[in-house]
Amino acid sequence: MTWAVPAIGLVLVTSLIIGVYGVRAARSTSDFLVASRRISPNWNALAIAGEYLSAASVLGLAGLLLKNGLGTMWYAVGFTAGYVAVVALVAGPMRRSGAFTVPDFAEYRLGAPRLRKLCGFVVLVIMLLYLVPQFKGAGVVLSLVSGTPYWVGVLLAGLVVSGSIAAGGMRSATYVQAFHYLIKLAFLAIPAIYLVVHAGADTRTEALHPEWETHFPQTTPVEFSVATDFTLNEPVTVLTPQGEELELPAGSHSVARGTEYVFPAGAPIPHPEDLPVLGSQRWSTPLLDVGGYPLFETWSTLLAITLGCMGLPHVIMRFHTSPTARTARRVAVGVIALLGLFYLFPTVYGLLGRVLTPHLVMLQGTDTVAVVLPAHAVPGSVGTLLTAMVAAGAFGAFLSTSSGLLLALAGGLSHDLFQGSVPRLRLAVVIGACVSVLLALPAQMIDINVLVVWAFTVAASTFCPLLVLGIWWRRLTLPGAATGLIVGGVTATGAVGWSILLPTPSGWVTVLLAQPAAWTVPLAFLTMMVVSRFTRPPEWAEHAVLRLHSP
Amino acid sequence: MRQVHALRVDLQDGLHGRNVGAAVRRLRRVLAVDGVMLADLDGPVVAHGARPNDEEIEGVLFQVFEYGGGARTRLSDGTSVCAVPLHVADELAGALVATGEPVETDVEAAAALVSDSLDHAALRRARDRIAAADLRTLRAQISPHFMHNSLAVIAALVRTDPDRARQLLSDFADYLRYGFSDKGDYATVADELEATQTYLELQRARFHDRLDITVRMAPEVLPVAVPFLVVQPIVENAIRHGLERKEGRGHISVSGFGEGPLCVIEIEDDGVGMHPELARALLAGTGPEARSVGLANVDQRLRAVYGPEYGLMIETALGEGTKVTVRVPRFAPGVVVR
Amino acid sequence: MSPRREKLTSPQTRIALARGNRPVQHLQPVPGPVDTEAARALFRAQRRTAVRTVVVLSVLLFGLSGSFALFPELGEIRLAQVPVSWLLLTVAVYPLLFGLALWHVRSTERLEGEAESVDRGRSTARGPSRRRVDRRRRSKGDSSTGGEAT
Repeated sequence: MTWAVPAIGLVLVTSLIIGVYGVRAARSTSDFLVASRRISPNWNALAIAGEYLSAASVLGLAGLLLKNGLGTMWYAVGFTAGYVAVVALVAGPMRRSGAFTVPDFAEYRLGAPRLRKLCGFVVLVIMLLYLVPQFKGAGVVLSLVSGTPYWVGVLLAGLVVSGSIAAGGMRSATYVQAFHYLIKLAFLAIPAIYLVVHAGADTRTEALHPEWETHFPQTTPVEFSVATDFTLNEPVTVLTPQGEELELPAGSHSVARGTEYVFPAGAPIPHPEDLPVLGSQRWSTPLLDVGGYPLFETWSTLLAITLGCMGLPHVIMRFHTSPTARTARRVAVGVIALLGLFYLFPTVYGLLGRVLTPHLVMLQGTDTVAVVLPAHAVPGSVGTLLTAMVAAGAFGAFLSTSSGLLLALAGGLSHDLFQGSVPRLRLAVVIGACVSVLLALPAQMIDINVLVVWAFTVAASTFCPLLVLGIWWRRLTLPGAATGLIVGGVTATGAVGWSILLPTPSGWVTVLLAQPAAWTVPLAFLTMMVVSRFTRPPEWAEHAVLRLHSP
Repeated sequence: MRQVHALRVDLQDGLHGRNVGAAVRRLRRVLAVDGVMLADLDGPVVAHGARPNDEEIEGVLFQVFEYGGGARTRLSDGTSVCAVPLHVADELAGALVATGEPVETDVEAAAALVSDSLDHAALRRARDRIAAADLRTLRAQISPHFMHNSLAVIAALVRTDPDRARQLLSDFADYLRYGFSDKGDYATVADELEATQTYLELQRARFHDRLDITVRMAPEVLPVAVPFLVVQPIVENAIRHGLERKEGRGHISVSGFGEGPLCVIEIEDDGVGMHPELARALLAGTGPEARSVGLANVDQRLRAVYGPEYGLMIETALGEGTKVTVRVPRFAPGVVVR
Repeated sequence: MSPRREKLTSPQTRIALARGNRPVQHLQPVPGPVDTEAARALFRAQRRTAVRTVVVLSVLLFGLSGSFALFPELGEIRLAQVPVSWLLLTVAVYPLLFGLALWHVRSTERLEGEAESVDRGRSTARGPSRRRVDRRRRSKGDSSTGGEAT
C-alpha cells in the first residue's frame, strides 16, 4: 500500500494544475483565435465520461459483482443505456433551449421562475444521494491505503474536494475531467489485464466456473470490523489471535465486531446470511436478485438507471458546452463508446475476486475488492504498484464526480433555492461538502451502487418526466409539471428513505420499496399528463417546443 | 383595496393579457351582478356569468361606441344591462358591460379603474419597448477614435509593409462586419473573442508590438450567449486608458471560466490604472461624457439584459492597473444567438 | 492582484448584490419559427425517430434480461470457457447500444438536413431572412394591443 498515497497525491496535484491553468494559455494574438475556437467533441466526450464514471463504476461494480453475482453488470449496462436515452430524447433539444440546468429548462419551457425553488430542492436531494456514496468510496480507499479509520478518510476526502474547488481546480473542468477519464481507464484496465494474464490458467478457469466451490486460496487472517452472522456448510478449524485452535461446527454463527480468526487454506468460505452463496446458481445467473424477484428487480433497476441518467443535473449541464445540438448528440454517442470500453474491466475484478479474495464478502467490505485484489493476486512490488494504480484511479473517479456534483449542488443551492448572488457559491460548496461528509459517516455499510441507484431513481421519477414531456409534449403545463415533480419526488425519496431508515416487511413490499422506479416513474409521468390535461398551457408553449426541434 | 390591487395585477398585460379572465370574475364579484364582459373596439373579448345574446351585445356596444357615453338598456327578457366606455390614453379603447341589476355609479367607477389599469399596462409596454430600443442604440458603438487610428496605422504601413497593411485591412473589414452585423443582440463568447482578436491585431500594429497578451479560456464558456460587443470595449478601454499612457511594455490578460451557473470573463491590464472615484462616477453614469462610451455602456447593457446584480465589477487604483470582471448567468431566458 | 485596488460597481449593482436575492426576472418572448407548419412536421418526424429508438432500446434491455430468466441454458453454453449469458451481458451489449445511438443520430441528422434544405429553398425564394429578425424583436406585449407597426 506504500505507493498508493504518493500516486493519489500525484493525481490530485496534476488535476489541480490542469484545473487552474487549463491547457491553452495563449500568448500571442494568433493563439487568441485558437483559444476562441470551440472545443473538439472528443474532448467533450472524454470529459463527460470522466465526470460520469464515479466510485460506483470504479469500485462499486466489482464489489457488488463479488457479493451479489453477475446480475450486477446490469448496472453498467444501465449506466451506458442511459446515454442512448439521452441521445434519443434530450441531448439535442436541451442544447437548443440554451438551458444550463434543469431549472433553466423549466423556466424556458413553462415560463415559471417560481418552479425554480422546487427544482432546486429536487437537485439537492439527487445530488446528496449521489454524493454520499462518492464520499464513502473515497473514505474506504483513503482509509485502506493510509491505514487510518474510515471517518478520517471521509473527512480527508471532503477537505480535498472542497479545497480543490476553492483553489479554482474546476475552472477548466473539461480538461480536468477528460484527464480523469484517461486515469480511470488506464488505472483500471492495466491492472485488470495484468491480473488476468498473471493469474494462471487454473485461477482463470475457476473464475469462469462459479459452480465450483469457493474456498480460501491460502491461509487467511480475517478481522471482522462489524458484527456478522454467517453460515458454515461443514466444520472448520480456525486459529484465534492467541494461537489457539477453535473448531467452528457447521451451521449458523454470530461473531462480534473486532473478532479475529485465521482461516486455513482450503477451508470453505462462510457466507453471510441473506446473501447468495458465492458461485451458486443465483450468483451466476445474470439477473439482479436480492429480494427474490429477479426479473422485476432487474427491470426496475434498468428503468431507474436508464431514465435517471437524463435527469441527473450534472449530466444535463455538460450539453451546454457543445456549440450546437448536432454536436451535443454526437458527443453523447462518443460517451457511449467510452463507457462501453470502460465497463469491460470491472467484471475482471469481480470474477477474480471470488476466487482470490472471497473473504471480503464475509467482512461486508466488497466495495474494496478492486483495491485489495492486486496485492493478493500478485505478491511483491508489482502488486503494490498495481494496488497504487487502482487506488489512484478510484480517487480520480471520486475527485471528478464529486467536484462536478458539488458544483451542481452548490449552483442549485445558491442560484435556485436561495436565489442568492455570486459570492455564495463557494459557501454553498462548503455546505454541500459538509453535509455529504456527515451523511457518509454512517453509510460505511451501505453498498456504493445501492445508493447511486437511489439517486438515479429519484432523478428518473422527477426530472426525467419533466424533460421528456417538456421536450416532446406540447400540452405540458406548469401545474402539471409541478404536481408531477412533487408526486415523483415524494414517492421516490419516501420509498428510498424508508428502505434505508426503517425496517421493511418482507416479500413484495421490500422489493417495491427498494426498487421503486417501476412504479414511481410511471406515476410521475401519469400525474404530469393528467394534471396538464386539466390545465391550459400558455399560447407560446407550442413555439417553445417547436424551437427545440428545428435546426 | 385588496380587490383593487388584485384587479390591477390581473390587467397588467392589457385587455388581451394572460389574466383577463380572472379580472372579469373579480369584477363580477365586486359589482355583485349576473355577468360582466370586457369588450374592445372589435367586440367582446372576455365574459363571465350571464351574457346577453350576440345581437343585443352588438347593439349595446354600438350605442356606447357611437355616443361615447354610458348606456343602459333593458333586454327582451327583462334584465337590465349597463355598458360604460373604457378610455386608454384618452382614446376610446373598449367597454365594460354589466348584466343583472347593476348600480350605474359602481359600474362607472369600475370602468374608470379598468381604464386606469389598462393605461398602466400600455405605459408599461411602452417602457419595455423603449428599453429594447435603448438596448439597440446602446449596441454597436464602435469608437470613432479606434476607426481613425486603425486607418491611420494602415495608411502608414501601405508603403513600408504592404503585406501587413493588406492583412490589417482585412482584419479591419472583419471587425467592422462583426460590429455592424444585424444578426441579433447576442453573440457567443467565442464570437466575442474572435472580434477582440481582430481588434488586438490592429492595436498591436500601432503599439509596434510592445503589447503582451495572455488568453486563458475554459472551453465550457465558449458557447455561452452574451450581449453583443461586451469583451472588445473593455479591452479597448484597457488599452486606451491603461496601456497607452504607460511607458514600456504592457500586458493584457483575458480569461474566462465557469463558476457554477455563471460565466465569468476577466480582463486585466497592468497599465496606469484609474482613480477609483473616476471609475465609480463612470459606472454611476455621472462620468465625463467622452469616457462613458466604453465601460459605462457595457455595464448598462449587462444590467438591462440580466438585471442589476450582473453589472460590471472594476478593481482599480492609480498606478495599479485595472481588472474588469463580467459575470453573467450561462442561461437567461430570451438571450439566444441566432 | 494588487491589494491597493478598490472594488467598484455601479450603485444599482452594489445595492442588488447587498440585498442578496434576485427579483423575478421579466420573461422575454420565445421567438416563433418562420414556418410553423414545416416546424410541426419536423417535430413529428423527430418524435417518431425518438420513439423508435426508445422502443428498440427497451426491446434490447428487457428482452435480453427476459431471455436470461426464460432460458437458463444460456449460462450452460460456453464460448471459449465463458458462459454465453455472461458474454452477452458484459461485452456484446455495448456495441449494440453504441450502434443504436449512432443509428438514431444518423436518422435525426438526415431529418434536420432535409428540413434545412427545404427552409433554405423557401427563404431564397422569399428574399433574405429579414422576417426572422423582425419577429424575434417583437416584444411579447405587442400581441395584446395594436402595438407598434412591425
